[in-house]
Amino acid sequence: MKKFFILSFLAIFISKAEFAWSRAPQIDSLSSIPLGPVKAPAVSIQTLSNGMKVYLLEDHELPLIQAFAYIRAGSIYVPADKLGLASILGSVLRTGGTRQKKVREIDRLLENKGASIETGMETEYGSASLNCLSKDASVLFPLFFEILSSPNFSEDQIHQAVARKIEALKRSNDEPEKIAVREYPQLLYGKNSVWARIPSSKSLLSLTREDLQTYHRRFYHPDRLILAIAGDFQKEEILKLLERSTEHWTKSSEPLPVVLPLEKKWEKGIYLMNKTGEQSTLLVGHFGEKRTNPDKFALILMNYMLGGDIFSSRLGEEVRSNRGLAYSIFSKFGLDTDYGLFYAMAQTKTDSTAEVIELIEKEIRYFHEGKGLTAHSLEFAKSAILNQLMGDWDPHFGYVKERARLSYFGYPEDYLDFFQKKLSGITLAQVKEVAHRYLFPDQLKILVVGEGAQIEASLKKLGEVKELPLPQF
Amino acid sequence: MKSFKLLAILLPLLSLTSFSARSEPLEAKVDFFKLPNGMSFLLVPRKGAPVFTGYIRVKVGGADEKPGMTGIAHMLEHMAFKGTSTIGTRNERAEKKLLAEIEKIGMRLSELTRKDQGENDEAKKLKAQLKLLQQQAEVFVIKDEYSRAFTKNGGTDFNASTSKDLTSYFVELPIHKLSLWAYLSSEALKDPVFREFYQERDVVMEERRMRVEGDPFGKNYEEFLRTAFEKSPYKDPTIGYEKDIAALTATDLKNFYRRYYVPQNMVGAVVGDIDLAETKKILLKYFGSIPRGPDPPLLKEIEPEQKEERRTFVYFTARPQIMMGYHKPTLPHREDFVFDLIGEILCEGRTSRLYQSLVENKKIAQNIACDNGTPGARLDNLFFIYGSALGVHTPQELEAEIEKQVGMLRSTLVSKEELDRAKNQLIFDQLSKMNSNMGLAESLTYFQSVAGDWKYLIQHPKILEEITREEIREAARKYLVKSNQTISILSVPKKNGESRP
Repeated sequence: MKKFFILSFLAIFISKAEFAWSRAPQIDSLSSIPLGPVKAPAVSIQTLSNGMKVYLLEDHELPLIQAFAYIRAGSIYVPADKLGLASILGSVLRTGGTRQKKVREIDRLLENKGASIETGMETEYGSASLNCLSKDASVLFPLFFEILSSPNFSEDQIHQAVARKIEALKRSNDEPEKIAVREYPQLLYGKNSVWARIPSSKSLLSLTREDLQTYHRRFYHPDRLILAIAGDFQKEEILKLLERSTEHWTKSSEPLPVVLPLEKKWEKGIYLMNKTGEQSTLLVGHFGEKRTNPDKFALILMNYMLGGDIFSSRLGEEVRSNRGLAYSIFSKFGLDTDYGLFYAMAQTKTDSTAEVIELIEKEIRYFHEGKGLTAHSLEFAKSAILNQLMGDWDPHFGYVKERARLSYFGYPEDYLDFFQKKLSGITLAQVKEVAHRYLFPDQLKILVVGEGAQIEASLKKLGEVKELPLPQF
Repeated sequence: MKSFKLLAILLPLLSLTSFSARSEPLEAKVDFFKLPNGMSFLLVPRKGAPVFTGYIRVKVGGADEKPGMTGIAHMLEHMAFKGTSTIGTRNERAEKKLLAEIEKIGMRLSELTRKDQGENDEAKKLKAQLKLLQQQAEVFVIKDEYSRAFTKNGGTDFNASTSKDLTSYFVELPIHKLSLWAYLSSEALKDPVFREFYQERDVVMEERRMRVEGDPFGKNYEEFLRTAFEKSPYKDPTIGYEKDIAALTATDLKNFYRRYYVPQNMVGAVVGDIDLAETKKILLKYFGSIPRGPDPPLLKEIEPEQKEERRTFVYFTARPQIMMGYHKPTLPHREDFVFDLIGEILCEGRTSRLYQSLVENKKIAQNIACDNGTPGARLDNLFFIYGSALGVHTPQELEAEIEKQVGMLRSTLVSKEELDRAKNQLIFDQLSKMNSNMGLAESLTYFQSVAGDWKYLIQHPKILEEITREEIREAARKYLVKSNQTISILSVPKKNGESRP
């Protein structure tokens, strides 16, 4: 009891001392040196005659060009009996050659010039990138679009990609962190949700060349593509080159499939997946929100204060800095197309697993009750996020790519300004309000990947524990 | 074959000078600025976003540690974020007294831990006392005031890293935070206070569990280096052995800090939208007052020549992988450049030999990778090959095929097309890295620290261009041989107590 008394006394003392004067006044004085007038890089936005939208930014310092394409595709559009199709298509698009060229020829053409073209597919988009010297653009942009518009999907490369994907799935069982991040969406959204599905060896092995061709025909069209380009080019010239390189590529004719909306099913619980090791990986959370939610700005700030930054957040301070219980601890509040994931994640030694879970629960509860949220920490979060926006302007390519990404997800062109204004205007009352409304300390779904036999007893003190088998591939 | 010939003809060598007509060559843009105390800076003003990267390298890393003290350079990197005698404290004098008491207990505990008595009754009592004192000391701490000042002012990529060779601190900030960066960084370099040391030591133990104990690659890599090197400090892990970390004290850190954190042992870079004259004034004002100390001890080459093949096995519940290494000289030895090219020819891109043979044709590997300069470049190092097995295939099959490909390098000259492609790829990658402030700052400070001159970056492509097919074959014959090879294979333990394969 005595120990508790001392601790709570200290806690009060510390929170009062929060505003004590720093002994390093230079930090404040040097922080307030004003910034002269600055302007965001001037991005030019164009639409080609085939409907392709292009974000361009000239930058002649180095003789390089970088490009990235967002294509309206993704694993969410893959039918239930074709799981894995998206990731296989994403890689074989590049490695399966084109109707005109074998893959060996493409590889040599690119690598002799030091250049690269890569393709891939994520949950909500297909991707393609090109990096080259500016002098090679006239040859490589046509190749880039040849790959995107008339791929060959050679059988041999499909088999290879499938074998490597199965191997990657098996290898994801080697690292507890990978297991936890892979399995948590399944726990929350359900195994069959398009936001959580994991392919199996069986589904991968059943994929055919025809499956890839069908998917490609349906989704890969110029009017479904947003391209970001930065580097050493002249705008007019490159636009002509893009027009020329895509003139035979037809526009889309079918509408996009409808993706069923998520239903929030609240089921709290503790789940344990056994994996031998000295450390547990744990995720504690529930549903996040949609990116269209008008409360998103307050939610972004709330999460920053909870676990968005290792050095200044409550979780970083409590779990890492004060107690040395984890190297990695953070929280994420997903604001996605549909309800995202909210979770805090940490890796800690086996025998402190329950302690870290309790600390996280406690902080989530505090926030829900409006505690631990101070004007000081809000001001800090705002300052950090707003000041960091400028960092996104370098390198230029990163900025253009971000503009293209925002456009892909349906944000208006002036969104970054809007974001800045909205975020600056958020009050502490608003943050407290969203913390209360969107955090559910009594509905937490907890996943622990770790040494089952040693953790189970301590976890049981927190509630009923359901054991989950480690999926095999 | 037609396309092959055609390409070979059309294949001009890229060069860093080929574009100097339009954009200024790198030589002209980099300003080398040395402070009176011996600290050097590389400054590159570039128009673009109103931001800059601040990068500091201290030429100290795992290679400078004494046996039994592994992990100290990395631990010091962690502590550099804990503040100074004015940053991060409410009452320096009161805190200092407590920290001294904490240290007394920490020293005794460390002594016990080194004697394997870290869990005896005395140790338990001391740990309880330590906890109480730590709670008292927390009262004087302004939590992470140092790190938070960077974050609050818009620091992105704010981090630090430690390798066998170097300790690096870096951040990108809006341009009007230049003085703030210089103030904070210079204070941490000249006046660090190791507050919350024993909590942070626990954080590092967690980091080790994550990066080594729970990670097949990390585990295998640690075993691999211990086997490949006999005496060189490159044999030990940068993060340190568990038992060494557990016994580190703040006093150990202080001694290490005094020896290596002297200005003549540090290189900085400021790259971005800066004004040269103004930046120099700021650097002089803040970093100029770091007191010069004696030169740190130099590393000596002590690794004996390897006489026969070395081999080790790591049993781990994970999919199998193989690591192979060959001893070779470090930079600026010409053969180091040759190995840059060998790395490209063997592993880089889909046309590379190992990718073609192991991944594409034989389909026995999921992935392969090479690295020239493992685990560092201040001492002679290794040419490293990594492969992960695919499906039912074994690391032994990978080994056989890699040996076959390496054997071809020894017996047959590489084609001109292959060599030129390797050169072009290397030069392109180097150029790409300069695209961001961070990438350029990283390259400049790396070569200034490790090679002693940032101009290595300019020399590098020129020397690469000279290297011939014969030199590749010669280096392969000299170094890529069994007697100079180390192999570490990671696989799942066999059942029925069956031992090594």
